[in-house]
Amino acid sequence: MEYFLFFQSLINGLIMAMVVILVALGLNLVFGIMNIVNLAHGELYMLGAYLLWWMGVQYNVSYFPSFLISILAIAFFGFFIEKMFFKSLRGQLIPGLLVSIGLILSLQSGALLFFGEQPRGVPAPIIFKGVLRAFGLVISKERLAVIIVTMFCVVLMYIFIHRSRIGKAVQAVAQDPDAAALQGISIDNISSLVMSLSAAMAAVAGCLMGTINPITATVGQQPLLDALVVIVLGGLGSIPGTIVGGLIVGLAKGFMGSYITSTVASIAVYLLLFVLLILKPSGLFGRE
Amino acid sequence: MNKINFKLTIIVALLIILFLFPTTGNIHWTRVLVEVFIWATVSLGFRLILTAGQLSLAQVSFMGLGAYTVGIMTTKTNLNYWICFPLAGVFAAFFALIIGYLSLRTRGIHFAIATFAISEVIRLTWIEWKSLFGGVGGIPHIPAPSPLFGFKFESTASFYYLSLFLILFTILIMHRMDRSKFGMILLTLEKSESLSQSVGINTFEYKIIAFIIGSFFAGLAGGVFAPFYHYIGPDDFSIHQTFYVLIYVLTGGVQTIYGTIFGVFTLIMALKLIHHLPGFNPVWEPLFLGCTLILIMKFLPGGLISISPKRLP
Amino acid sequence: MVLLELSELSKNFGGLRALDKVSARIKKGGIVGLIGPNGAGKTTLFNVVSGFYKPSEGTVLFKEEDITHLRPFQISSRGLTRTYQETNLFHDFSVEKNILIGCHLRPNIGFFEQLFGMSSAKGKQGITTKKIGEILELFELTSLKNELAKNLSHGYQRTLGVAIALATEPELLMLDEPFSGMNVEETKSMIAHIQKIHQEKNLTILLVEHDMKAVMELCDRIIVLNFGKKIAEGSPSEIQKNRAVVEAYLGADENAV
Repeated sequence: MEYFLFFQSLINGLIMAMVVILVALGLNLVFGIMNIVNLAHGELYMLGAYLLWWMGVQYNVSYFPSFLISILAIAFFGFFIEKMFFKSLRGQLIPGLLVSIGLILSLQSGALLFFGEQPRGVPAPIIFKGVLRAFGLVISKERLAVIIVTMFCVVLMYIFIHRSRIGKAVQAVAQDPDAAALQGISIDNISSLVMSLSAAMAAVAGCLMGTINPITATVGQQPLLDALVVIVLGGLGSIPGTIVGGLIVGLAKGFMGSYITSTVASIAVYLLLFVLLILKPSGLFGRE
Repeated sequence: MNKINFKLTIIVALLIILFLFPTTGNIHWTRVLVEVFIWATVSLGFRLILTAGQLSLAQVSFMGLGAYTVGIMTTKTNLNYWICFPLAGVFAAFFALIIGYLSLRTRGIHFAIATFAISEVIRLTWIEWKSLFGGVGGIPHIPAPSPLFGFKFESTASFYYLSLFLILFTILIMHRMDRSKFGMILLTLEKSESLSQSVGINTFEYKIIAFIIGSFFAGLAGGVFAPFYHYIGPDDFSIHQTFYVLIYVLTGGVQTIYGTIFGVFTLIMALKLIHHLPGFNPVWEPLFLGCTLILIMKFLPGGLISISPKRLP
Repeated sequence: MVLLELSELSKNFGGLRALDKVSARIKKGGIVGLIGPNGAGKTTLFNVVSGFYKPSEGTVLFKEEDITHLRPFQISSRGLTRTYQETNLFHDFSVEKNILIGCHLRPNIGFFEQLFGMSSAKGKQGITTKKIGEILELFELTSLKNELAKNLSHGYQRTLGVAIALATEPELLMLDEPFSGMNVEETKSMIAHIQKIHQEKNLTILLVEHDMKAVMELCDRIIVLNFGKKIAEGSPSEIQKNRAVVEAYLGADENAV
């Protein structure tokens, strides 16, 4: 019995870790490279999930095409937001934060109006239905998919940033935008790319969880908060740090969830964020 | 000379109108004005802290602390409201001291997010600590204030005058601060903190004093909010409410007191008008305010008051 | 008497040793120059002494008091004020207001004193107004007193920076490249100002500067840093003849792009 509970907590924790890693990686990109604090990032997650549901319910598109469409649409939406709102505020942290607050309110309200109050769910595709059994333990294929897809995305991200030419350009912009510009790198293009990528990752996370958790207009808030904690914990700009931080936060939540109420768990996470921000001089931006 | 006379005339006229308004007998709009005065107080507190270069996303949480202070004390003890009311401000200020002392070593974005985190800790504590705060249900049946100097608190008009005095008091204090050396130093904290330190200014002290005073007024406003609505719950003081305050201040203009108040008044009026539109959905409120904020940030970052030619330096 | 004493002062930034066991004594009443090639650690030294950086090792004694771990405002209140290499002003305020804020310490007007308009505050305000007038005249800024700091020409901005520092009535004034970006005329003017305040206010001055002519003209003692270490100290003529110093500068030139 104990073993079963432990394993279930572990799986739950891993799932939460995966989701937060995806969201945090995207957020890390945007914070670290464009110095934009886009708190509406959680809303990209939310819209990704809703779009997945919408495609299925409204247009009868099956799961995988819907998934793809959602990712592309949200990536484009990210591109749009960057061009419209954040481009002119590049480098100004607080104004960017303020705009993102406006976005949070508008997008959440818009989603409520358009998609309704009712929590939505996406039926899992056949391939994800069912469970795997091993060593007397059970894991649903859906949850396994979350883990596999996330790991795949992380590896992709790593290869992109560290092994591709564009990835090197992104790193250059992160380190020294002026020097990068002098070398002929288009800051505008890199910013658009980074924002689209990060939006896409948020959408992936949202879609993956669309079959597991109910979708509501505020569903993106918690992942955002957790992602903030992960970034501060794991260090800005560090992919390994994000992964480790994500695992810690996710697993802690998974295990805590079995023993304490979610309210207390949330209080703990917020307190942790508060303490980290106070103690860590590099905080969210690696420079003070 | 003419300019000063003009301004003075406007102010006196405004004050006369405000003092006489309840005699019109229009309960609905009197209540709306009470709401405006309460939120204007919170907003001015927020503005003071923002002037010192800090974005306190916990402002409405301090309002809530004040409200809960009055709510709990007037329902669970026999204490007279007029003792609880100033205590609302004092408790808020006390928590601001602690939170400020811990977090004001950070600046800018870090401080903003730290206060955001604390605001949620506070809200969730109200929910979790059911025996003291009443959980999700909050504190119901908050009584009206007991009679003061023979004046009974029976009607909306009483709350009107209470909140009017509060906002006038707040404006007075904020105005003196703006004009004083304290206010001048606050303005240096955001962009020239190192230089301020070099001339011997303990910048941390100034930041924390601004934070405490701003939160104090939020607490007082909460102390009026509680008996006015007779019931308070954790969702009355969520981060969304702080976002609203932020939007009021920025839309009106953070540079001047009058700009901020103008913003509060205009937007709350706009929200009331939206209420009356056919097919009204509560979600229109945050939608409207969110879009307003985005538009202001993009096109009029100085706020509505910056359209006026006579902006104070 | 020894006003400022640095003992084995060191500062590491990660792997970079910006200051390496620098020791020095600044006596009261002189004008001391601090020179060295770019990156030698001069501004770092200023930042450590004035409390903006904590040293990795070593101590700073000011008037025989250990100020090593004090915060910048505490150090300023004890009579040690510094200026900045990059123009640092209260940009949105007028010249007059800039100096007014500089007068914060002396005379010190309390918070409540001011808020309630007490008469003691008014008296002090009178002293302040007089003081501001004097400083404006000293630096020939009187005609500009209502100009916003951000609208001043570069030369006047640098001058204002020194004026603000002077308003704190320091005993030791640390000037970080006061002549930077100035043309010949402005430099001459600034040299004159520095000499004037040195004499009239009985100030001790520690000066970082690249302009060798100005340094040789103003300073009676010179300390030379290179790669965070002190490599020489002496009178201007001694320094000019010092091999190590010459090499440091020549070497730096060779490696410069």
